[in-house]
Amino acid sequence: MTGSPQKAIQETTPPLIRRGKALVVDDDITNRFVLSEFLSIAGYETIEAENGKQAIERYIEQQPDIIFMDVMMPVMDGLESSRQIKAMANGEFVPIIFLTAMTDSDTITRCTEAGGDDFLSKPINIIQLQAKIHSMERIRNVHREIAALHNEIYHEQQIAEHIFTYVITRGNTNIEHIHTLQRPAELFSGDILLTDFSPSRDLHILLADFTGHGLSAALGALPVSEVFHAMSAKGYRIDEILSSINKKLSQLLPTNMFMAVQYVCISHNLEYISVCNCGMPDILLLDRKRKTIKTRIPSRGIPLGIDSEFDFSNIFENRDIEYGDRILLSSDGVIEATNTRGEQFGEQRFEQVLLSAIRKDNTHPYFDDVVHAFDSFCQGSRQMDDISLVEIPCISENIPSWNTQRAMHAIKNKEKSIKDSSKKVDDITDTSSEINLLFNGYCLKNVDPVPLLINHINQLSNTDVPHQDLFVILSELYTNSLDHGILNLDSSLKSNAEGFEKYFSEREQRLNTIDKARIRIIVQMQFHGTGGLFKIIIEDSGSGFNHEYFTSLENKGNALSGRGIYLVKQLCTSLTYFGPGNKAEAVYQWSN
Amino acid sequence: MAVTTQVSNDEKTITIRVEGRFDFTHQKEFREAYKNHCAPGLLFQVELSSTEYMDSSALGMLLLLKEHADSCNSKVILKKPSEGIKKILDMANFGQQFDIH
Repeated sequence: MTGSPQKAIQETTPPLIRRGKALVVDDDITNRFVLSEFLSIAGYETIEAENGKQAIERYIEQQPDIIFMDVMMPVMDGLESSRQIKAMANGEFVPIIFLTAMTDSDTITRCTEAGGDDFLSKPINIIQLQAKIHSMERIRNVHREIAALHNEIYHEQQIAEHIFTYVITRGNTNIEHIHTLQRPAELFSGDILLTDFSPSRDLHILLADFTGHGLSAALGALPVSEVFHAMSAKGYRIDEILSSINKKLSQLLPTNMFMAVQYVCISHNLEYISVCNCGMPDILLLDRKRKTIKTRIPSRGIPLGIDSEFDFSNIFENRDIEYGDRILLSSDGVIEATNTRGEQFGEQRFEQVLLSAIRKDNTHPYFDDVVHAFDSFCQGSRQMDDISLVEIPCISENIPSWNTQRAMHAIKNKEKSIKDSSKKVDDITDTSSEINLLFNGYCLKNVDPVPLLINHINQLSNTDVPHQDLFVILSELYTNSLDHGILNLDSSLKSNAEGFEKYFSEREQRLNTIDKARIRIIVQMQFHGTGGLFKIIIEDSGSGFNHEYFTSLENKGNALSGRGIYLVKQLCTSLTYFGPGNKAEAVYQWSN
Repeated sequence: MAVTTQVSNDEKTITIRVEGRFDFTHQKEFREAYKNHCAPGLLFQVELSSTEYMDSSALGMLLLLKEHADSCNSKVILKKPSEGIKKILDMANFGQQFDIH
């Protein structure tokens, strides 16, 4: 050291810049004194400690901005002290400069490993000290800037995420009996869950997983949610909805991004599910009664957004269900989650956990058990991917069951409108509007006319039309006409699982052979102030079916087939079949 | 390095080998491996025998390679995936997009 400290500093830096607090740690009182003097002239408020242990105490009390640390000291050395301080710093940059007489590489390595940011050789040289102070300040400033930016981005993302989630999920039907576990790996999730009802109260559930995670993965969710809600609410089939989403994503997403999806539609009468899996783990159907995995639906399609022409009609399946069965959807984040040893949760473990959980008594909240088992497996390891697990019980609480409540409501409505309406059914000769559509074999195979009709009716009416009732009437009459009148299918087949599959595969085959078949649908509409009257006529080119048997059935609670006609009868003022059963005429009245 | 490239003597086959985890961290390396090779009739072989794990962004990278190959009138095949990798490819039904041997 040359000259007095005061003189040396004055020559090089203007004094009295406020630089914050410096902690000087050295067991030698002279060393502490000299360095403290230098630092206070440079603009630091100084605090001192005699050993590593004291340094930690001072650090906790005073939160210094920079620390000068001797290496060898009694009680606790500088290395251990630095390790503990750095561990407590919690992301904040607190530079530690080691004061050492030794500059061998072993010492340097040990100091750096302990968290040291720089070195200052003893005896202390003023010029070097100043240079170190400046360079540490530069690093600290960059550090603070980054931290501030990071905070700002995080804050903005939080707001964006909030709005985003709202936009994606606002169209969802809130179904309290569906259990979900959704854990994004980052603020934004690339996994989305969408739910909605079709007009006939079929429950649509879509779980999607975009490539990657975070914001970029989440962006694709917006158009998917839009298409999903718009089309399910109009009564489209799941393959038609998937096909539209696929086309949209193929245009929108870059080549290396796509969306895997599990899609389930539960029929309103809890008779069957339509299901489609494109690029996701198996969908599981749990048999609650027998406590087994009844069916698994593996991925048969490619993820969406890859091939815009992909045909989904060949890969969706219908499976029959029983009351109380449970459908389990999951993203690959569940089976690919790892524990601290790097082992995956895996399919096998997942299914074991599921089975042991459902084998407990029925009142037990088994979903919580599954989540608990999953959490204890992954405990302590970092989550790498978005995680979604969804359990849907097939119970009537999930489906606002129109076959009891809605029918009752409709019957009341019908009585009321008959009373209210001054016109009689037979008086309708001049209808205010009429839709008359003729479908040929090609259309019957490829187009579902019901959403189309509902759409037209909406556009033509000047009052609120009861969509659900209309949907039920149109789709039941149309299905009867196509399945029984034209395709000659036997609905009693549907009474067991085997027959059920046979029914649908038979249907698929026969649809290919009906080029010459025709179905005509006529809807005559008359509106008055608060309600209206529809006459729906559906006529097919088939040979009719045993309609007398179906229309004569009364209590359909336990019958295997014919529920559709029974419902239409409940909803309508009248339902009449003509000829051999190839022409049906239904009259429906309502008042709001 | 996890991604290695080998060009055959006749310069017709480009073999890209991915070792260990094949995920988003290899995006750049994987692209580098093929982007300078483009000629009609080329064969891009992706060797997956020592690939331990593959995530969805790796599937995305394979699609990018396919797009590149298509634009050059050349072909991509995926070779020797382990059982675990095969499962991931099957789940995404990549058999419809790629030849897998």
